[in-house]
Amino acid sequence: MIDSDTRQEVVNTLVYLKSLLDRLLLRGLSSVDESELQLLEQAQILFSSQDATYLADCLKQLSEAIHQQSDAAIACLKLQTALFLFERLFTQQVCLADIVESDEEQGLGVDI
Amino acid sequence: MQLIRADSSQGKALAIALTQTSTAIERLLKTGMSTSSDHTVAQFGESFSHISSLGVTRLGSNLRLLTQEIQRYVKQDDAFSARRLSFFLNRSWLMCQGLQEAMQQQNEALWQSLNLTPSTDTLDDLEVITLGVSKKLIANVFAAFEFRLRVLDQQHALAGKTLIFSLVFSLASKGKEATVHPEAFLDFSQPQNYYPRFLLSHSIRFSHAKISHETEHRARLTLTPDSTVTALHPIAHQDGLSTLARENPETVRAQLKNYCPSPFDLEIDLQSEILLEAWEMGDTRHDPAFEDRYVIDIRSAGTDYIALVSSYTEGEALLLALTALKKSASRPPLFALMHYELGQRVLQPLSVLEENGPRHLMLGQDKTDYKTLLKKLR
Repeated sequence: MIDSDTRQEVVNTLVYLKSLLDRLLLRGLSSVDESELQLLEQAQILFSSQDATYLADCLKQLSEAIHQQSDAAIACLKLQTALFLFERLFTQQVCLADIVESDEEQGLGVDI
Repeated sequence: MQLIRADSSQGKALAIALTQTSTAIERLLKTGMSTSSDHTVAQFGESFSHISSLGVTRLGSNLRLLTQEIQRYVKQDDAFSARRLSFFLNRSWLMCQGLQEAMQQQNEALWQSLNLTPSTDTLDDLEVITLGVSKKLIANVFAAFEFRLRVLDQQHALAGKTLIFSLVFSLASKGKEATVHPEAFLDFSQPQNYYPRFLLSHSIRFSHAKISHETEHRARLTLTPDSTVTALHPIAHQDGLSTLARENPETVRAQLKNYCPSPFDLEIDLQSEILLEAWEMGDTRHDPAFEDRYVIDIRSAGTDYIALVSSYTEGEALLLALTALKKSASRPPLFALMHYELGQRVLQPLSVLEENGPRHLMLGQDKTDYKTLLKKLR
């Protein structure tokens, strides 16, 4: 099960990435700076370590597309979708784990 | 809607429209919004009209909302939201890709999922009670009220299910028209000759209303010109409000456990109405991630929640009500919507169930200046 520090790091990274993509839409993808690219790479490492391989791959594709100045828009839209799906599954997993913990505390022992 | 054949004239026209729309979205992302203009608004407006005329109404509806958001940006309207724009751009692009794939592969299941229209019934009579109301306000655009209803007849097929009835009022000011406070619309007579405020104080009989089944647990009630809305008796706690509002925890668990997200979902699609009978709340704080909302920690029966309150006008009444409840020695049961977001259970508090019935927390006082309004209308 995911520990609380990693859980918070994942949440913070998701919030940051969503906000970055919203801002990039206003500014245009050619405006990505070096520090933002570094953060994309850090996020890729974090999600790889959590076995979120599709999301990590989408982050890699966006970084490469921005470097090569090709198809960055498609990579960005794919990343947005991957982020949404990951957030949904991550939230489902975390909230189901909470129920199991709560049931164990109450001695219900429900197998979820 | 029937799956369109890719080699038919309609299919060819749709394929061209989908490609053009996708390309326009990608171009917008590449260059950024600073390059958008009235021409961009017109271009997306044409896509909306053309795709809707081909019968692809779900994508059409997304494109209409996308066009509105681009227009807000171009007009430098305060109601513009980068988050909303980003959402509709992504959904529209994704639907364009999915519809093209469904047509090329003649994938009926994918096509239907992208053109989903819920099944609809017409009911003769339905007696309900309102347990809570949510309010959505976009300044100078619209005010929307969503009534959360419960069917009174416990043998009815809709008993215990989430039943939603929405009213949307335009706030667009025209010429000299004075601003009408959103809550004032609840006192305006509706085409079916009823006043929405009665939905807050009385049990209601809807006749000849339409019911669309959005999910297994959620249905939406809509009115037609032939529908009637009749106020029955004043709501009181003896109507068994707590029993009607209390969720089945097994159903809530099963919904979470069986949830299979789709890229076309909203966070709030996985949603339950819940009743917190004994609850504690923390202090109000700004949400560090989203500047447009406050967060309040709520704990009930060993479970942690966060309540979200808009920091805009929309959230004023709720913030006041929750601040008063925080100071109160005893708190009545809280009826709220719960959804799941960023690993948390998120609450939208709607009402507290008191002796005289639900007190609706999101509704404020009608602050319309009627004297000025009447002068301006003369």
